[in-house]
Amino acid sequence: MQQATQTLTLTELSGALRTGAVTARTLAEEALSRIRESDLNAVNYLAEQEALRAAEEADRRRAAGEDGPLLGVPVLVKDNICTKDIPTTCSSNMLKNYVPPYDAEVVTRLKEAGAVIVGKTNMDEFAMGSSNETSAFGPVKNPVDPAYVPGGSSGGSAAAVAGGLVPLALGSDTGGSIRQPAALVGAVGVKPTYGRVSRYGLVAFASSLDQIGVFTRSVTDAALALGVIMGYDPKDSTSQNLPLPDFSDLDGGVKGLRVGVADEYFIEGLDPEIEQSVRAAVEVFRAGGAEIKKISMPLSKVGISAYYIIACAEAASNLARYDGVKYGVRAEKFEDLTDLYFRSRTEGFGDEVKRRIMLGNYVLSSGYYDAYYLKALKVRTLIKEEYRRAFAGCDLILSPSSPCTAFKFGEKSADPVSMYLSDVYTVTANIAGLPALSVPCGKSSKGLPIGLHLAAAPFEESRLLRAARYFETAEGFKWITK
Amino acid sequence: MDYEVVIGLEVHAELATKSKIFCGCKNEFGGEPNTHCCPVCSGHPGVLPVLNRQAVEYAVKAGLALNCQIQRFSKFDRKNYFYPDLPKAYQISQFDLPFCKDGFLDVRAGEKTSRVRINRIHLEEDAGKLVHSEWGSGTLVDYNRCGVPLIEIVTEPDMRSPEEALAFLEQLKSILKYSGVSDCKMEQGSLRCDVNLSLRPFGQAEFGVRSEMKNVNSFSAAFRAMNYEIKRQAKLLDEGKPVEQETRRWDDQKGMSFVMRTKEDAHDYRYFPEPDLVPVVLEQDYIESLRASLPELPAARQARYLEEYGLSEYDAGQLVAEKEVSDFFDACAALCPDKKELCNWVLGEVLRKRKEAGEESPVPLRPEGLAALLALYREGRISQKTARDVFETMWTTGEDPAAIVEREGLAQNNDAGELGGLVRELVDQNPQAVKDFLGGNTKAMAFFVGQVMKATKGKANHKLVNELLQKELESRR
Amino acid sequence: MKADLKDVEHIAKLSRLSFSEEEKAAFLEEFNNTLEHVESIFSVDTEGVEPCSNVFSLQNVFREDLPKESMDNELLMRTAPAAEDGAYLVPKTVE
Repeated sequence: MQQATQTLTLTELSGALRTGAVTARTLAEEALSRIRESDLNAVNYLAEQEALRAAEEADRRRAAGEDGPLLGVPVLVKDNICTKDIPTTCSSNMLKNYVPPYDAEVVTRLKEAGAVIVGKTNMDEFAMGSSNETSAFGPVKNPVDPAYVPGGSSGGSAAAVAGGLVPLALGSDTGGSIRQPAALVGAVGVKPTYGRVSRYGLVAFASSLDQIGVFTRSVTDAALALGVIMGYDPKDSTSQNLPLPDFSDLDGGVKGLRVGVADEYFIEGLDPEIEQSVRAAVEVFRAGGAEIKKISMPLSKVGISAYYIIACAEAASNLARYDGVKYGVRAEKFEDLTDLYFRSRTEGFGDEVKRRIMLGNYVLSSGYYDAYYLKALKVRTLIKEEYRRAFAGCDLILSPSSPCTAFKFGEKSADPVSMYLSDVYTVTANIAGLPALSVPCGKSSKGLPIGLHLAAAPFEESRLLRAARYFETAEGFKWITK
Repeated sequence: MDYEVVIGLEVHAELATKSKIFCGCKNEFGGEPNTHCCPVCSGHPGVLPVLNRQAVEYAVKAGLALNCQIQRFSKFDRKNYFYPDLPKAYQISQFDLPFCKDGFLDVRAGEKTSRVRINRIHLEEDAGKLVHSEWGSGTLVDYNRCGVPLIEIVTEPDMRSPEEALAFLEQLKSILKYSGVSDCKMEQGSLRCDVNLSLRPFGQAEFGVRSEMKNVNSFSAAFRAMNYEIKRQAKLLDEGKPVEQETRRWDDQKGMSFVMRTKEDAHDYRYFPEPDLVPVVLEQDYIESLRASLPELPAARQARYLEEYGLSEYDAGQLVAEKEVSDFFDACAALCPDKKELCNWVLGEVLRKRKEAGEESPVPLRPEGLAALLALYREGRISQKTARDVFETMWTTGEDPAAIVEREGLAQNNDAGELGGLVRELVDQNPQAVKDFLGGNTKAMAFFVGQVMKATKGKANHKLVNELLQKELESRR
Repeated sequence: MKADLKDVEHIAKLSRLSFSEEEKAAFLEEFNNTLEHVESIFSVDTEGVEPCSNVFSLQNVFREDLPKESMDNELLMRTAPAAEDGAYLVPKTVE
């Protein structure tokens, strides 16, 4: 059963639980055992006791007549999402001992749905990175080839799902942190529209860009999971009070769908095998009756720059609370209050986090605010406008998810700018708040996964997932990492 | 040399909401440390703010009461700095788009009235409290006060003397209390004031360099701080030395201010729009409905007392100083024909008893009670002294004055026959005093009156007694 | 615009981060590379464009003024690195 359940999708596992072919308890034990044996380093904390208790509770609820797509299903949660009484470290030394006194809203919803949280996944420190190499607890390995990175910042969640540890893992996406790793490991990764999923309990990186999303092994699974975590939360002022998207008819196909493709996306520096794979994907849509339209997205060139300025500015402010006073790690030796701040923060944060805090404070500081931060906010308006114009003429925008396939450890970490460029296809969806996803669409000659990126207009998750589902079935799931 | 004093004030007032500005914790003074807190106001990772509607309403009402232009569109910004009383290491405040702008308060200081312009009023969250540990282990941080909603009222540098500034503060406090937006208890920190002061030679258009003073914990401390600062700056200028732009801390015990921060150390707050909150758009009808809901404010009430009741400006001013007192006065005035007399009683006896009980304590009397008491007195049924005694009893027991008079047999003696007899008796018994009176000594009359009052235990009708005595004594001439 | 060592020191102070002299120099180079890159936004014409702080123009999101039960002091303070009598303990503050 273990081998079998490893590759089952959420939908299939849920079905097996429903028929009684398997119990939640068994699934939990198997997941815990797989994680223990795994050397992906995808999991920071294995919640054994909590998981077994939750699994037993789920079995009781099912016996009492309850049902639901996540009832009894083992899941993992990225370690920047607060889980009450379970360590939440953001893969940082700063929070290595932090145990939240409260649950994030999405965790509350998972628990209400009877999901069994088996642990917290490894990630880039404070969600800052594109390779899961900045984690204070060691890098995560790509399940396809352990010499390669899984992408980041949700590297652990991506690897766990692609590696068959669990069928569902939550991640967070600020500039591509779900979609880029999904592409690099060969899984489905979805970031909903900004405001669809509550950020209450998500340790903030960049407040106006962060969204929680999901990693799964199929598009149908993603729809099921999103259906549980999406929805208005009054504890989050940026939460949208709208009816949930309708995922009841994901098999409607793409006839008449207008798919926009921009020349600007096929940039110098894009891996030619990826280009080939993505262009082939375009043909799959065309074959299904979609209309392929040429669109122009010139501002995609400055997306990364605007993103970095805004994200780092908000991050510098969001991370200022880590000072050794109220929670987290405090320096052991300090002479006075000022020393306490300097030492705790210098010792607690890794290099990438420090880089971004410094950049953030620079662009906000007196004398530079107008030139950088204010300018970036204006460029943001223009990027939003550019998408609005594009979506007036098409329903979806298609591009590669990442300019490169998974790279080897250490390959990009020496040059921060080259690392930042990994996000070139994903950041503008965060800037404009759009729903977007990555589905596997091919493999490189080295066997490394290639991801296809689809973005839709705000709140159009139905259309987005329907198109992704079509692509997945047309391709026969052949690209999902086994 | 004589310099012109230029004063501007930044006043923070805690709003009287039931819960905090961004979370549901109680907005209540005191309590054991960190017992009115939650992850949101303690700045835990992952928390988010949600704006209290009532805080916005109070901020707008304060602005309306202070003649401000209420901004249709406003937003919040983060003010970033490190200090242990600030859990998120930023304060959610308002930078460039506050709720209220361009208001004013016409201040009466002595005989003069001057207009102090209000630059802006904005809404922000309060920080926590720091207390030094008794054990000397360091400083203790309490977040109970974190997240209490504050309005910050910033004036233009329009004040020209500590007296004017003090009058402004008193009238501001009164207005805020009347509007119900804050209880303004300085001793509980719900009203705080920073003083900006500079000097310049008379006739100079440019402002001098100003210092900012913090930790001014009462109006009288503000007064002392301003006077000290004037002397300090004047001395520097007289000696040809420059005044530094500094933030200073006022130490009321020592009667001096000390440098806290120089211009170079000034914080770079790196303000930017708060991404976790959305802007507030206020429609005109909403603003007008709030304007209509404001109670009669002190200035308007004072004018009404002058016009309708014919009270003096001074008396009216005294009555309106506190809303509770003037509310009480108004309730009584509806029942009392003689407003002047009522005014005397309120400013006299009522304020006296109230002060005894503790500043700003409630008035326990029913307006009907006081009105009835005054009626008894006016009708001659009790003497003035009796009225005062009955008042004392009423204050404590809340009883009806007529019931008290009845029970204790305090009714005034208006019996001319009985009193006449008593008068004749006393006159007969005190020939020397009679002689003194007839000799022109008016003190003798007072002696007789005193004797009558003593014999009647103060219940004799004073006026009648005087008349009877006058007649009787004259008859012995 | 190029940053210099003084800028790095000033920003480090604002960020409450300490760097050794070597770290500062290495950081400065990386920092300037990054700045050069993000300055690509300077080439965009933003004349007359409003800054976007609020991606979907939500407005007037409020909660009602209803007090709720606070978190138990012990539970809330469990995370404190140092505490005394229910309060967080820090080195003596000067002001």
